[in-house]
Amino acid sequence: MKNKVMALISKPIILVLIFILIVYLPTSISAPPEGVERQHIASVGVDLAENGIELSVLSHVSSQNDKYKKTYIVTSTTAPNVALALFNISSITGRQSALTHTTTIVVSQELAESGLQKYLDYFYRDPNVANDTFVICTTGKAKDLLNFEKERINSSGYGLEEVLIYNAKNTYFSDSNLESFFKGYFGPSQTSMIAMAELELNPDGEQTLQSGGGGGGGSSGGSGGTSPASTGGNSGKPATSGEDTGPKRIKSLSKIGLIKKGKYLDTLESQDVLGFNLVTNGSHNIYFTIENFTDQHFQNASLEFNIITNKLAFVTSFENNKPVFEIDSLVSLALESVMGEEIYKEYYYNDINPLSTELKNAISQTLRGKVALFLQKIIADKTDVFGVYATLNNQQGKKFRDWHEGLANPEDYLSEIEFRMTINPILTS
Amino acid sequence: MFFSCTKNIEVLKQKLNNCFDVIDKSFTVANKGLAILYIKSLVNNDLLPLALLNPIYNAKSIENTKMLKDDVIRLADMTLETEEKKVLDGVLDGKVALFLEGDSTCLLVDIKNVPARSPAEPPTSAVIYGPRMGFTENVAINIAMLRKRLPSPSFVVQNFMVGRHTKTKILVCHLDGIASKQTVKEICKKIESINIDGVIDSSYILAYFQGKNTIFKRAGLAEKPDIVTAKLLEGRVAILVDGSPIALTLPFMVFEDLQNSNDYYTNAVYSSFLRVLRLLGLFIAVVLPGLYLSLRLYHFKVLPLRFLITISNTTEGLPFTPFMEILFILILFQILYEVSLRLPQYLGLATSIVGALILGQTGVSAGLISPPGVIIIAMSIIAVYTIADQIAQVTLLRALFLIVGGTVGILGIVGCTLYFVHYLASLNQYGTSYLAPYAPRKKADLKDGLLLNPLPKMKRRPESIRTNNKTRQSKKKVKK
Amino acid sequence: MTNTLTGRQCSLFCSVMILASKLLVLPSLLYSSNNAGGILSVLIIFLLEFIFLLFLIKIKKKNKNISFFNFFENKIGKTFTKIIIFLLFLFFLLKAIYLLQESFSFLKRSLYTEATVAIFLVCILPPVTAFAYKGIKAVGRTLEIFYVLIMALIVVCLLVCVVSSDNLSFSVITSNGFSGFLEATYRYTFWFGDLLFFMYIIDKVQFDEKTPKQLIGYTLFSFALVLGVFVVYFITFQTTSFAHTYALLDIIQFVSEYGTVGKFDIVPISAIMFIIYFQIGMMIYCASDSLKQVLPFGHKAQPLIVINIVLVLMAYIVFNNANNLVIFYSNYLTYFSIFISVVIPILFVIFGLTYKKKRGAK
Repeated sequence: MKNKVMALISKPIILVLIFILIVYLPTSISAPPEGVERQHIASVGVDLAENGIELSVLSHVSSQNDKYKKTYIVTSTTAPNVALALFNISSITGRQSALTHTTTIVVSQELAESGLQKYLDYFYRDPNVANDTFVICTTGKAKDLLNFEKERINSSGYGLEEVLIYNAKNTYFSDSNLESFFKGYFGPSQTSMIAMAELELNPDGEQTLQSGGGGGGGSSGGSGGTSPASTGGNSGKPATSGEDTGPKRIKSLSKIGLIKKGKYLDTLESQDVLGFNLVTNGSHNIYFTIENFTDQHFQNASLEFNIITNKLAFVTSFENNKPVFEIDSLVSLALESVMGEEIYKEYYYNDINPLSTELKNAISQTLRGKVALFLQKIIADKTDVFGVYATLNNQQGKKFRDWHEGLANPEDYLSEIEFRMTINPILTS
Repeated sequence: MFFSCTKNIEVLKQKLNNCFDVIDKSFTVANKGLAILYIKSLVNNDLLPLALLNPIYNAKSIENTKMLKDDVIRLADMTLETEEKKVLDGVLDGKVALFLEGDSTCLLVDIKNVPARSPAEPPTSAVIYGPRMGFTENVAINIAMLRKRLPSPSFVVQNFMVGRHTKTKILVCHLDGIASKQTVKEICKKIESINIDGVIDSSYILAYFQGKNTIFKRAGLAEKPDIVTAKLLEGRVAILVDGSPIALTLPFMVFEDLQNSNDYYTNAVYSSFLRVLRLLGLFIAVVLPGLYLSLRLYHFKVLPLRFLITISNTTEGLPFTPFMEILFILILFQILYEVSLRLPQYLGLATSIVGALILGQTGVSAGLISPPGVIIIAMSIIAVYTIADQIAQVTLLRALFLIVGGTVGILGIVGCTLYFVHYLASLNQYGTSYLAPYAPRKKADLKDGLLLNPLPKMKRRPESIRTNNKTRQSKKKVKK
Repeated sequence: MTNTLTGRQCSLFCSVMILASKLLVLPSLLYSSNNAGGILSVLIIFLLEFIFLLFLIKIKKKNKNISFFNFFENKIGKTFTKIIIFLLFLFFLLKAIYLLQESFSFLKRSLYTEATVAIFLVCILPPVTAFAYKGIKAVGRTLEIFYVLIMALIVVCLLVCVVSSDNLSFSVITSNGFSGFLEATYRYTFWFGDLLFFMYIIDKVQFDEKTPKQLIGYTLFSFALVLGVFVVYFITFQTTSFAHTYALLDIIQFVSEYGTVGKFDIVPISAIMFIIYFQIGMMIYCASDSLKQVLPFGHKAQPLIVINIVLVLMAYIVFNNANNLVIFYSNYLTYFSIFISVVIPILFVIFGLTYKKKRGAK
């Protein structure tokens, strides 16, 4: 016996294995799968409530099926803060709320106006929540959006995060996530951007619910992601036009909310977003129209262009002790459609490069106009979402910082900067 | 031996316990009394009258056994023995003992005919293109196959007899001038030091080369002469054991088991691809069940949501916990594996149907086991056969990794992997690292590593093996 | 098995040890101390470490099989050597404790939801103790097997971040100037000095013609990787870097294509898991080697048992106070770290280079 014990001691790794077998194996064998103990939250919605917030979670519920079908439920509770609300939700569902797979945080505009940072702090602090979790603001209630999301995902498996990824890349070319929010919040201008989801009553609610059967409902389609129409609501009640109750659907996802010091300030409308995209690196698929254009190729035509690539250079300087911010843009365009009195067949085959001076001027003027609209808005709102401060600081350094400190109202530095823009359009086939 | 034939026969028969197949016959030729003794089941009964008895009967005079050997019997393999023990060993080895009245010397004539099967393609080393002949249980046939492939004076075979009762022939083969003399000497010394009652198979000899290590095998196993020839040409030493169709090759590197003889008979790029697949197979076979279990139990946060949902849905409502479920499926598959090996071939199909279809499918539809669990274990079991020579090791490691992964998670799997690789890295045999040519890295040997280079590029013998001559291909023309 | 390392194995060790504790918390600490200028601190210390490496190569070439202890004994006698070795023992032990703690926090956040200290120690300590017990040769060979995998994982992380980033503006690093970098360098010296392990194995390395090139090449490669992670980290996070304590993991999580949806974070987690085993293994090896020189142990397992007991005790005391540990190391261990990471290497270089002359004089 003694020899056997000594032999064991001489091989410590066997002792370690025995230790694992004795201490951990019994608990591991009886450990249930993670689904039994946790509810995996895909989206969180935060609305303002009387005594704090109303937190809604869209979570996945395991259901035995071999059709790869996802089943989601929406659970809501009110609490003074997010931590307590999540704790309440765990106690309601009997499962620990797991934020490890959360992809979207939806906040209501009302809540955003009262200061977002207070509510997003919990998510930013929690190491389980990924940095790039989408944060979107809805014009209605966040809970309604989650209900719409639940119906859509249960019927089609198509998730909101897919729409948001598409939009972030193709519609507003800007991140709208936890990280970008706090990066802006802690940045020099304390400004962030947030994607806006506009909700509207779903007039097809009843019909779609009926066709979907039960509580499911079917998707009625939607294009791109800018205005996907689908059924919504968990009540199953038909919507009445003009009332603020009943199932909702996303009307638009193409606007951007401006956040200053954590509080919602203003919305960049679709036209402003276009201007913003024009001065944002990496943007593409920007559509714009030139109306009633006439030159040697076109007669009183309406031309629809798409910007394929947009190369930008930001050059800063000081003139008369005033910063000058020059935007030099090289845009590659595709002529998407021509709406004229007559359609000339040579347009289909012949390249119209080099662009006529008239067309160049028209394009330049149109685009500059859109950028000007955007700049006017951010100057008025004192929201430097475009990164003017960072660019000037990086390029001019101390000179800019000294100038900034010397301003009577340093917060309003955008209005003191002279913006110039040069646009060089080229046409690609 | 005695001068009397009758006495000699009597003594030997007694020593052989008067067994039924011990045949003796006394007769007189040219006024001389003669007697023969042999074991009927071991000698060639056609050759006995023709090559042995006829010449004796036709002899005009027989003076002594030496005359019998030199002038009467015209066979090559004959020896004169005076010691009783040697005569007895000879008879037991299938020789005919011939005694002459008044002569104490025994003539042993070798006309043995031991039952043996013909060379065939071994089931574990099948190739699509390339030689198919495999070793048999008869060491004489095996050495003949090697001799045929290596008609070189450098081919050296050393003979040892191991086993007090079995007296098994052990042949140690190497190529003189290529294999390291030190290695050959050490291997021979090891074999000589074995004192055992019997050697039934080459695995008995392998056990003596294992050292303290009880899990990982320390010698290459080869069932075909082409493989052994290739290893001898690389500077290794081969051990053939009478009664075993498996030859041992030394020194051994674990990476050899990722190689296959077929690799050298097909396109090098394709072979490289297959080797990478085998490595992947090894990973799947060893780690996958443990990894899957650890992900389900502890690390769900690193799983993508869709994957997590699919697993959650398919495992919802199972009566077993994840660990028990995987353990249950693994044991079920291992039992099926054992059964399929032992069952007669015609029952094999029925077992597959019962195992795969009825047990698997019904288990899933009855809600006892989940489809992902079945897939993971099935993949792991199947993947073992990408490296068939390591089945035992992989099966053990799979069980260990399953326990470690299920109890302490991925960190335990990583720790366990590092521990075992570290352990293997500490193994050395005759100057060769177990993990060569990757640890220590020998750049030249990587030509026959995970990625295989075409044969013309492999101009030198492996650096990882001690050899006396490193050059395999030179620019000098071969003299015809 | 003779306990020696090939030149390549030694180079791989240099490469992996440089990554120690620099890919996780350090970028965040340096940024909070000196913004993106923290990169200058890294550059300066890397330069010092590189110069030290060049001297090590020179010393090794000059004195083939003289151990680090012999160099010191020869110059300052046994008593002072033992004091220095004891201080080095403390340094390696403290480093091992820090690495264990940092790894624990990292894995608890990234991989385990409910990890306990016991599970972590059960997974880490047996293999690393085996590394230290069986000697350097087997560990060197093990590293040869895993090195390519480790580096490939880190390179993949970096490439994914660089490729998927829309705007990698390097001007961010220089925009706030570099004032205050010296203070940052001074405060976080403890996080460097990883090439000190080389002193312990200098007599065990088989040098050939290629070895100096290999040593320099692999070391520079690791320097480049660490700098790459720092640059990407600083550019990606800037104002929010205080909230991103695990650089390699966080930069991957921020890549939206892979972060939330694809769970690409298993790549940096795997890399870190493999790295910590080798780093802690080497720290324990050096600590055990030091302890053997200072105290008379009968069996080579005894110092390892002592070290393991200390590590287990410290794990239960400090593992749940990560911030306190960082504060302790950056505030109270600065002089000690500078002595170990700067003064001892200088002494070693002087003693190593003059060693032969003194023997010749005898």
